[in-house]
This record gives sequence, C-alpha cells and structure tokens, in this order.
Amino acid sequence: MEIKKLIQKTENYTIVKLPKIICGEVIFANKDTEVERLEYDGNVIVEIPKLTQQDVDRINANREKLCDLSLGRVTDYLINAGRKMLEPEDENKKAAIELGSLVAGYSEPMFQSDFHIIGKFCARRSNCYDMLEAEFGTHRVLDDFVNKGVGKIRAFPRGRVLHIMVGNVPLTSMFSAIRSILTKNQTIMKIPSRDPITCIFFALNLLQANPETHPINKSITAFYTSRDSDLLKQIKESSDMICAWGKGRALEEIKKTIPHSIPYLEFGPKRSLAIIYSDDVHINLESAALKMAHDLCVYDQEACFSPQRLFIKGEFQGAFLERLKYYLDKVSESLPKGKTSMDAQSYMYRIKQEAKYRGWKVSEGAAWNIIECDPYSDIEHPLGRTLFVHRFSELSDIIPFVDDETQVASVYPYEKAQEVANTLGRFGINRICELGMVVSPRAGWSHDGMYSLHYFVRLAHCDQSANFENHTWDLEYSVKYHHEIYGKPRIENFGELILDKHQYDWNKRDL
Amino acid sequence: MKIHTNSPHEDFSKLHDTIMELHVSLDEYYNDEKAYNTMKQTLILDSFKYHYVSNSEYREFCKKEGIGDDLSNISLQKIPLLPSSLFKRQKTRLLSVHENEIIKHCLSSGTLGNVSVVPRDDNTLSNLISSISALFPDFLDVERAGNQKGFVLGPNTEDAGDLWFSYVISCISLLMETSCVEIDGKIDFKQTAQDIKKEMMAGKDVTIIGPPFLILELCETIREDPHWPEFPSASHVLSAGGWKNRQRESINADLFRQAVSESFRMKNDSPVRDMYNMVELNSVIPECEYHQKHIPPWMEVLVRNPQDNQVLDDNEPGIISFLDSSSFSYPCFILSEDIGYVQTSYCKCGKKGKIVNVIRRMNNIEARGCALKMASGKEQATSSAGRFYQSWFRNVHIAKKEAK
Repeated sequence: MEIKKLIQKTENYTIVKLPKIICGEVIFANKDTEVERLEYDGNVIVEIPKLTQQDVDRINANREKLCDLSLGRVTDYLINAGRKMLEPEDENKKAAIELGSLVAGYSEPMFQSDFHIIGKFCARRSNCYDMLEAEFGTHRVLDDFVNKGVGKIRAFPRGRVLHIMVGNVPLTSMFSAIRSILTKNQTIMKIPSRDPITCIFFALNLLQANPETHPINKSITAFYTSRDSDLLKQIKESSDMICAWGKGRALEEIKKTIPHSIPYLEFGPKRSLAIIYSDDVHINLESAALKMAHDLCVYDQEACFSPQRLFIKGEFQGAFLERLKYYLDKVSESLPKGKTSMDAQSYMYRIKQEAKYRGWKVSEGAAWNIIECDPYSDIEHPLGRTLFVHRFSELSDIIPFVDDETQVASVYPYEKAQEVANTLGRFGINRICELGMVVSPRAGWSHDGMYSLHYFVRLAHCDQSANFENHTWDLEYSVKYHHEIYGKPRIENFGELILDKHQYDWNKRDL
Repeated sequence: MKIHTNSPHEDFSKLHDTIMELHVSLDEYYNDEKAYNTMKQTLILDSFKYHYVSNSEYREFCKKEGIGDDLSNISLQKIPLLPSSLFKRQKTRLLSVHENEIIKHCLSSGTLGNVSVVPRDDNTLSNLISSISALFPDFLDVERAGNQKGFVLGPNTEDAGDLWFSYVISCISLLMETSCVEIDGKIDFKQTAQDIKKEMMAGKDVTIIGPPFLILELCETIREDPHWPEFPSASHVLSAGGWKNRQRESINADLFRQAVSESFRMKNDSPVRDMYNMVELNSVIPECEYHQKHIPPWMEVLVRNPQDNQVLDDNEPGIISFLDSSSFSYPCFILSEDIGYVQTSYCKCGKKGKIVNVIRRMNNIEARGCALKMASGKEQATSSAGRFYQSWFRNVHIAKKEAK
C-alpha cells in the first residue's frame, strides 16, 4: 500500500485516509461514503469509512467454519504475514510505521521494533506451536481429539471473536489478532482511536501476504466505530467471545453491555516495578543500567509492563543512577521519545514542581526524569519515562507495593528472580522476569496470570465408554458403581446390561 | 534573617483591609485599566512577600526556584507556583498561619480521585465571602436584598459542611432570600420548578445556581410545563463547578446556554452565566452578559507553556495558573489542571482587565494506555480496598484512616 495514496495534505491539515476491512474486503471511502474523522495533535486527521448496517449484516452472515483448517495451514498463513513484515522494503510496513508515528505519536523506531517483534514471532512456526504446547499441553488439540484423562478433548474455535483493541502498545493489537487466528476463529477488530493505523495495516498485511482465496482472509474484519454505537452493540451480541483491552473505566462499561453466555476476556490496566540488588555478587552495574533504561523507555512508559518504580538495595545506588542516566540518554537516541501532548507535558511539570516542594531529589534529562523519594509518598505517576527510585533493605519492604494489579517485577541480577517470585508471587504479582526483558516474555508465559488461549476455544470432551478399563476402573467396578448409582435395581442381569454383553434377540422382543 | 520586601504593607496587616476596601469600589477598577493593573500588581506582590515571610516551606521552595531573600525586584511571572495536586497530599504542609487559626478545612469533590484539602483562616474566608457579595451584584446587576429570590441546586451552607463547591454556591444567600433545594442529598425537581414558577408569577426575579448537569435536569422538568412563564428581566441561571463525574453527559457552553435559555423561555442567553472556581482558589471568577470571565483586580491569571513554564501571550492555549492575593492561610499561587487562554482585549460589557477562557480539564494519565496509576484515588480505595489482594496502592492506608 503506497503511503502517498493514503495521505492528503491541505493547507492546515494532514489527512490520512484509511480503509475499513469487512470480511476480508478492503473498502476505501468514495465521494458518497460517510467517514469517521479522528483528530490528532499536529493537525492530523484520520478518515475511515463508517461502519454500516450492511457491514454488520455481512459480518453476521459469515458463518464459514475454520475448525477443519489444519494448524499447518493456519500457521502457514501467519508465516506468510510474518515474512512480509520482515521484508525491509515492504511498502505496507513502511506506511504503517510512518503513519503510526504520525498519528499515534510514538517514534518510528518504536513502531519498527513492534513490527520486528511480531514479524519474527509469526515467521517462525515453532513460536505458535510452543505457545499452543504451553497453554494446551499439545498443539494437536486444535486439529483433532487427543487423549486427556479418560476421554479425548479437542479445542474448537469459539466462532466469531470481537477484539476491542487498545492503542498504547502497537504489538498488543497484533498479538490479540494472532491469538484468534491461531485458534481458527473469525477475527473482528474494533480498532482504537489512539492508534487506528496498526490494526488496519496488520490486517492488510495478512490479506496481502496470502492468496486472495485463502479461507482465513474472509474471517478478517477491522473497523472503527464509537464505543456507544448501536452497530457495535449488535456485533457484541452476535460475537461468540469478546476480548477487550483498555483502561479500567472503559472495560467496566464494556462489561455492562455484554450479554450472558458470551465469554469475556479483559486485559485491564496494570502497574509494574523493577528490583535491583546493587551490591549482589552477580551485579554488573553497566548491564543493569542499560537494561533498566530500555525497560523505562519502551512505549514511553505507557505499557502495563513498564516499570514505574525502581526498588534498589545496596550501597551502589548512587553509582547505578549515574550510569542509568548515561544509558537513558543513549537509549533515547535509539528509541526517541514520541510526541508528547500538552496534557502529558503539564502533568510532568506539575509532578516535578511537587517533588521539589516536597524536597525530593529530581534528576532530569532531555527525555527522562528520575525522582528519588519515600515509596509511601502519595503521588500520581506522570509516566513519560519517569522513574521513582526507592531504597529497600529487605524484600518484604516491597510487599506493600504489590497486589494482583501488579503485572511485572523485573529483577537484576537474575539470580534473585526465584526469591522474588517466591516472596512476591503470593501477594499477587503476575510475572517475574529479568531486567531488560519486560517487552520480551519467554515462551510459556502467562499473560496477566492466565493462559488466555483457553478463552478463544471450546474444549469439547469425548468420554470413554463405561467398558473402558484403566488403573481406577475395571469392568467389575463399573458394574458395582452403576448398580449403586442406578439405585440398586433388582435386575438379574444388570451387569450384563450395563456392559452391553447380554444375549438379546431383537426379533423376539415382547411387544 | 533579613528579608527585603520593599512592600507598602510592610507589616502586611493592611493587606486584608486593602482587599476588603477594594470589594466596595470594584466598579472603579473595572473601569480604569491603569488602576486595575496597579492594584493587581501591588496586592499580588505583597501577598507573595507575606507568604514568603510567613511560610518556611514555601520559602524553601522559592529558594529552589532561584528566589533569594531580596524580594524587591520580583515580578508576577516569577512567583513560584504550587501545583493544585499538592493540596491532595496529606502530609504536605502549606500553611502560612498557625494551625489553630484555621477555621475551615475546605474539601474538593474529588471527581478525579483524591480529595483536595485547603486550610482557610478567618481573613481568607471573609475575603471570599466579601468578594462574592461584591462581584455578584456588579456582574449580575442585582440589588442586594432587592426583589430577588435565589434557588441553590445544592444543600444549605450548614449542610454543605466542608465541601467547597456546595459552600460557595450557597453563599448566594448572602445576597438574597434563598432556598437550598437539596435535602438529604436529593433534589425534587418538580417541586423546585413549581417553586421557581410561583416566585416568577408573583413578580419576583429569580437566580438559580447549581452545577450544569443539575440545571439541565431542572430544564427537563420545566420543558414539561406548557404554561411556563417568560423569564423575568433581572433573573439569572448560574452554572458552576463543571460536569464532575458526569463528564459523559457534558455539552459545550453554547449548547448548554441554548438549552437553558429555551427551557426557561429567556429572550436571549445572556442571563445564563458560568462562574469559575476551584477549591484551591480563594475567589470566584464571574462571567459577564457576553459570557466572558473577567479576572478581579486582586488576581492575576497567567497561561503557561507546559514544557518550560514560560508565560504565553494572549490567545495562546496552555496551562492556566492563578495568583490570588486574597488568601492568607496558604499561598494561593496555583498551577491549575485546566487548559485555556487569556485575552486582554476589549469586552462589549465595558469592563477592563483580563479575561480567561477555560477550554477543558487536563487529561490524566489513565487516558494514556494501560499503565495503572501508581497511587490510587479514593474512588479506587472504595471499589477495591476490600478485595483479597491488598496493597498500599489500593489505599489500605486511606481505608484504615477512614475506619478510624
């Protein structure tokens, strides 16, 4: 998709004209089309054709089942998309990065990084299989019934999955879509106003990377509509599962509108922290400072896994912070800070003034702030690469700052990770990782304390027969068991009947 | 310690008297730009010097901002500002008077989380009350104790307790016979509409004051009455306090005025006025008949660039800051959470001086992404403090405090 065809420059505005995608069809606005207009800082406007009743009817009429598509073909579909994303000169990706930065405000290297992460994930088949192995025990469960206990299970897709996306971390919307494609669902994306670019271009990438007739193409839909729209309500009611991302209040509103019996998976707001033992024998201050700088800078600290506080132990705090400042400047060169709104700038200024009034030590760089204070100080976090630094002496000092809304504790040196996990895990923390790895969870990770692929499937269970014998069940036991639960009936050949081994001539039945 | 203030009110005892005298002759200052600017400059600088001398915490803060003990050449632009959020911090000391001089700890409604607590002494509170008594007749052109009946869509002053917004709107009872129609937290809109109609039919002028969402609810009731009389000429509907937690119902100022003027059967929308105030500010900023918010001569409004805190020119949007000389108990030099711009241009109403235009409230960080804010608000404490997993974030400290 050539970027110049999507951008129109007027005297005062830059207008980005996005398509909507309905059941795999890419629909641009023509002169008669009503469009949604979303306005952004810097006089940027995004126009996208409005969702119509006809679109909703078309989505609802699409009942093509994907469950018989083999996992091999599904992962081929994702591999094609991943490889296309990794091509350095791919026009679609270049447009997504440039427009994403223009609209959503993150720097281009930040978008580039996300497309790289998702491209790499999709392009290597083993990543999908590893994820399925971790969450279901075996990937085979998506293609066939597999033995499980005294029976067999198969993971059938829920059907039509509505994703209500969020725009603060571009890769989350792509990953959300991957989850439903991998589990053979129809993928309906309600794109976020904060970043309408990533979802649309990811969907375009899927369609362009694969043959036009690929059955998954028809299952891909991406549109923008307001949260309160009647059309979105209709889609919610006709979805078989809803996966919503976002702020707490937005999720509460969504939850109120979901009919019963529709599974609902939410990824709500979370907070994260970092823990550094600066005097541990394994410590390498340079490494720790670089890793801390990276974790602080990604997504300008607007992700749930972005550390907002650093708890540091040991006598080398001062030395560490000096190196951290150095690496914050370095990482800010490679991952420049994105556009900052007047609100965010103001928030930052207010917090710094407040910190000064309260006598805290404030260090400021061009794109970051470090504030050293008592962890119990009541203050709002301004985000925007601001780190609140607190000293601790025992791990238990950190417990009051952890609950089940704490997503990640990133730890350095990694040798301390298990101790942190043992201590803080029981107080609600969801993930413990090595410093510098917040954005790169290892295979098998549980997202917000869940294996969320389970929400995307219906696990059908095919029981074994009463005659099936194993270590807890033999035929003699089966007869006794059934005799008991049938109320001890006085039937002479009860056992034979239960085991289906009696002699019976159907033609001589007593009518 | 020797502090050079070069102040005409060197012992500061006359500052309060000057402000009270100013209330009596407001008209003179609104009509004379030079006098307006001179008075503003003098009062605010004196107020700054007073707080610098009286408040050691504020003085330390000023020093960090590069202001030494020689205050003789300080300008208004250089006065260090307190972010309004500081009033939400329980352990932060902001007092310029002794603790036992505080007569009211005024509370915000806490729409966006934690509640602001603003300590006011007798002088500070009397300045506010006196300013309301002076500004309302001047802007609304109503005679004190004239043919007016007031209706407050809120509780009376006693029931309002420490809740600042309710307290301020109930102060209209200083000017006219007033009914406060909120009883036990509820308003009977049908009864209120009937009472207003009765007064109007009896030939009285009415002044109705309340938050915009309650005014709109009253309008809905009024529209059901096909025999609603024409709105009397010296009557007003005053909105104040913003949309609070009913932001989703908010409509812009033009639409609001249109809805209210049509419902009340006004000839035009000039009787619909908005009054600006916040708990951290010790003055109300009234709106004239041309819907411009004029800054009183004891206050300055400077709009600042959030990146570098530089003062912006007229019509350039930024963060609104206030310098209010009418507070004695705390430095009322406030960096607000509102975005807007100022104008010094001529207003058709004839008043001189500055006009402030508030565009909107700043978005908080939760509007950005899925990072949950670090310290929780009261709202979160009440909604989640009882859950199994608890932390300091969930304001166990606040919950415990409230339980005590």
